[in-house]
Formats: sequence, C-alpha cells, structure tokens
Amino acid sequence: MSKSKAQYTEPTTTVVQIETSTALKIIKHASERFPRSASGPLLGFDVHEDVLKVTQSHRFPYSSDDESPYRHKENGRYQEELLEQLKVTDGTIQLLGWYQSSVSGKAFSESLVDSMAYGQLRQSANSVVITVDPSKAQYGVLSLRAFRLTKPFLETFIANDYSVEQLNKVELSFDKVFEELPVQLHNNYLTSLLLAANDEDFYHSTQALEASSLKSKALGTNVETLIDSVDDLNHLYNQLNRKKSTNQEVSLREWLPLCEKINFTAKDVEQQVVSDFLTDSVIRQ
Amino acid sequence: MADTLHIVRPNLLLSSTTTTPVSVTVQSPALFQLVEFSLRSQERIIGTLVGTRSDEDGELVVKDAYIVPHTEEDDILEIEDAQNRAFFNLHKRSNPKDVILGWFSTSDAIDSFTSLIHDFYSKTEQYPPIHLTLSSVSELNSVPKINTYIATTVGASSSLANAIKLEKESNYIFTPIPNKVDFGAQEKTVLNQAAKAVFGESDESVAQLESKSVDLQVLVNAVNQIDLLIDTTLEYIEKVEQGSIEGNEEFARLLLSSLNTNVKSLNLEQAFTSQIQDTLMIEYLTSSIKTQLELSAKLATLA
Repeated sequence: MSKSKAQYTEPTTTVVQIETSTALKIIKHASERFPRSASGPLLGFDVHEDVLKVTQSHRFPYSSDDESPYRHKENGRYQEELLEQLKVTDGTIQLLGWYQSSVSGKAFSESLVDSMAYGQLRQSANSVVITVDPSKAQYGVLSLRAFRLTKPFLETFIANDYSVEQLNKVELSFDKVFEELPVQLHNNYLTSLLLAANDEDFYHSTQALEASSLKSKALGTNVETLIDSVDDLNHLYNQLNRKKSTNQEVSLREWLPLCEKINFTAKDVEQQVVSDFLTDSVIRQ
Repeated sequence: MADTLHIVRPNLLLSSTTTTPVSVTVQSPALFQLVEFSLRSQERIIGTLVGTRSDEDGELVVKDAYIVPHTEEDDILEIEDAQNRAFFNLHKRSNPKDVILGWFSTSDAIDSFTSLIHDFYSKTEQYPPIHLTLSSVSELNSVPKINTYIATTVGASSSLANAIKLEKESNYIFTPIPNKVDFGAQEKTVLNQAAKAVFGESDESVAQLESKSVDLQVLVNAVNQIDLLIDTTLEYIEKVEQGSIEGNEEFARLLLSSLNTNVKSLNLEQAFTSQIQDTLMIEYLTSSIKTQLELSAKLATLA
C-alpha cells in the first residue's frame, strides 16, 4: 500500500442498520461454521443520512482465524466478481466491509486492523466490520456488533509514526483504536407482517435452553476441534522435521565430493554443516 | 368423476434412481430473503433456489435464493441464463454442497409463463425442479405465504411433438407439495430482537440492538418471564380454588408432573458443580496441552 495517497475522510454514517434477512444469513453462517470461523462481505448503501444500510451479505469461500478474510486473495476475487454480478440486479450496491465470527473477541488481531484500515482508507470511509458471536447464539443470545477504526488511529496509521509524542498529540490510547457503532435491525413491512403472524413467544428460544444436551454438545465440539488442531500441529511438526533432516542430507551430499578436492575429510565437512545448521536454528529461534 | 384428471406423478416417469421431492423445508434466512425480493418490484420477479437435496427421502432444503433477470413481452420470455450460471458458480464457491433446487416467483399466479420458465429450469437441471411462489405482492395486507409445487408434463414431450409435427410442445400441471419453514434456535435470536420492533409499543420498523452485556440482559428477561408465568399460574390456581372458573384437567396434570421434577429432586447443586467441574477439566486439559506444545517446541529447537 502506498501510504502517500491514503487520506482520512470522515465517515458520514454513525448508525449501522442491518436488514433482518441479512442478519439471519450472518447468524446462520456463523452458527453453521461454529467453532470454525465464518466471514463474508457486507453490501448495501451509505447514501442515507447518518445511517449505513446493510442490505445483503454473502459468504466468503475462505475463512480463517489467523488472517483477516477480507484481504485474502481468493476472497478478493470472489468479492469483485460478486459486485460485478450484483450490478445487474441491484444497481448501485456497494461494498461496506465484512462480517466475521468472533468468539469472545477472538477476531481482533493485527490483520483485522490492517484490513479495516485498507477498507476505510481505500474503499469506503463508511466501512465497518461486524462481529458475531456464534457461541452466544447457541444459548439464545444475539451478539452483533459493529466496529470502525477511529480518526486518531487512522491518522497515526497513515503517518506510520507510533512514537509517544505522536500518540500523545492525537490522544490515542489502546481503548481508542476502535469505535463501536450502534446496530439496528430493520424490518420492511412484509417482514413485520411475517413476524407478527407468529406469537411473540414463538421467537423466544427458551425451549432450546432446556435441553442440557446442548451444553454438552457445545463442549463436545470444542474438544473435537481441539483434538483436530493438535493432530494438525503434530502433522506439521513431523513434516517440518522430515524436511529439516532431508535438507541436512542433501547439503552433506553436495559437500562430500568437494572435500576430496580440497583435502578435507568427510568428517570435517559433516561437522561444519552440522554446526552451520545449529547456528542457523539458533538464529531462527 | 368426469371432471377428474388423472396424471402420473413425475417420479413414476423418471428412472428409479431419482426421487421427486416430497417435502420442502425453507430455512428462515431464505424465506426472509424472498420476502425482501418481493418488495423490489410490483412485477413478477423470478430467480433460482439453491440448497441441498436428500436422495433418500426426497427432502429438499432451500437455503438461499437469488434473482435472475427476465423479460416478459407478449408471449415471448427471455431468461438471462448466463447471469444465472455465473451467480450459481459464485454461490458454489462458498457453498460447495449446494445445488439448484428450482425456481421462485414473487407472484402466486400460475400462467402460461410459469410453464415456460419451468420448462427452462427442467431442461437445465438434472433433477425435476420445484416451483415456489410467494403470495404477497398483490394484496398489501396479507401475510406472505409460500406455496411449493412440482410439475408433471402433459401432452406430447418435445421429441414426440416433433415426430408427429405438433406445433405446441408439452405443458405442465403443477401439483402442490407440502412445505415448512425452519426456524433454528440461532435464527430465533435475531427474530426475537426483530420482533421487538413489531410487538413494541411504538410501531417502528427498526429494532435497536444492545451491544453491552447482552447475556445479562437476556438472563434478566428470561427470569422476568418465568416470574410472570408463575404469577399467572398462581392467579389461575386461586381462581380455580375459589370456583370462579372451571379448572382444566390437562393443565392440572401438567402442573402435577412438573411438581414431580422440582428443584430438590433434580439436585441442582450437584448438577451445577458437575458442570463447573467439566468446564474446569477442559480448561485444565487445554492448558496442559498448550504447555506440552510449548515445551516440545523448545525441545525441538534445542535438539
């Protein structure tokens, strides 16, 4: 990103309004993928005064906890093609950021900040990230929150100057990196009718809470993913070790013919390579 | 009897490996999406339904839908197939398991165009498509209602029509099939909030979400609700005892059975402690695994 071109523009919206159908899709996606992460682009309009209208969401093909899904290559392509298609049916709809599942704020990372800065500086000043907590949804609690980077942080980010003087000047502290925006659910009149057709109690999910199996189920899935992750890690370790050992052999084989020419014994070379390897690994550590 | 038309169910016409849909489940996000689509225009909007198909019991689950542009002029119909394909491929990228199930229309009229559009989907899809209509656009104050149909061909099919040099190809007869809307526990959390705007005192279209300590608020609401329930039940019992209203036997039996499972017999404390112990155990295991991993990482670099 060339930092010279980036400029901070004041967002025109302070409230995020999500269509009920879109909110449903987001929750559904997050719950389906739980405990893995889920994410997708948010589409809508920011032309209304003060209100950011999110009218559509889709699913990113690729989601991961480790890096922000927004800047992932494949997701970027997906996003572009999606916008291209939607131009035909939805006219002026535009990209407004993305949503991401976040269990207990897990999504907040450096890469999220980077992508947010990219979104707010490069795409739309009104970009937001919406986090949804699927673990809470399991217990019948809706947690949809919208965040945006603050002006002081973005200015510091553009200047790329994190010195104490600069931080003091713009009055930036750790709790002022993000600002939270109030989130509203918007029903169109048909949605309201549809909702009113059922009794109010219909939507209370207390029945789901009664089943104590739900808790053990959630615990079970957590343990399973934990085991999966450990297996994955183990596999990676093995691969890495194998790679290391083959590397060592290759370098030995490369060196051995040479040592005959320069009167070194094979043992010397081997020692040299091993010590090289050790210092290497020490540095890498 | 003379008025009855006997037609063959499509599954008898097809090979035995494909089953025709017998029931359709519409997931609530798809339903609300369709409702939103229907507001876009007074004209008929059509589009594709995507979701999963179970081969065993012919159950279809509609997960999502998207609009496919089309034009109706006189008796000429144009559907933008390229758009349809492109969008489905996009959808497939993020939902690899989904297939095209059929098509929807935001008008509940079944006319000559319905057959034409259905013909289009029948030709492009391997399985017999379903047709879903949403009745709401014409009448402003009716609750949106979903109808699902499967279609049977009547008359000569295209190859036969060509053979006997008929100008008109086969048509379809639409048979309604049962459908239901699926509200998952997670989706109800959204609907619960959205319904607040509807059932609230001021009739608004917007529901404000709480951002802080949502869990606590839900708990408070739940406790209040239980409190209210107990109050109404007590009131009811008192009235029955006084003889001002007649008691319901079924309700009494229900009360009696719930008395049997009172808190003491459940041994709440024990249940609570065992739950906590389970959680602590998991936490302990997690941290020990973490420590072991860190340790082995250190050892691996030293070795």
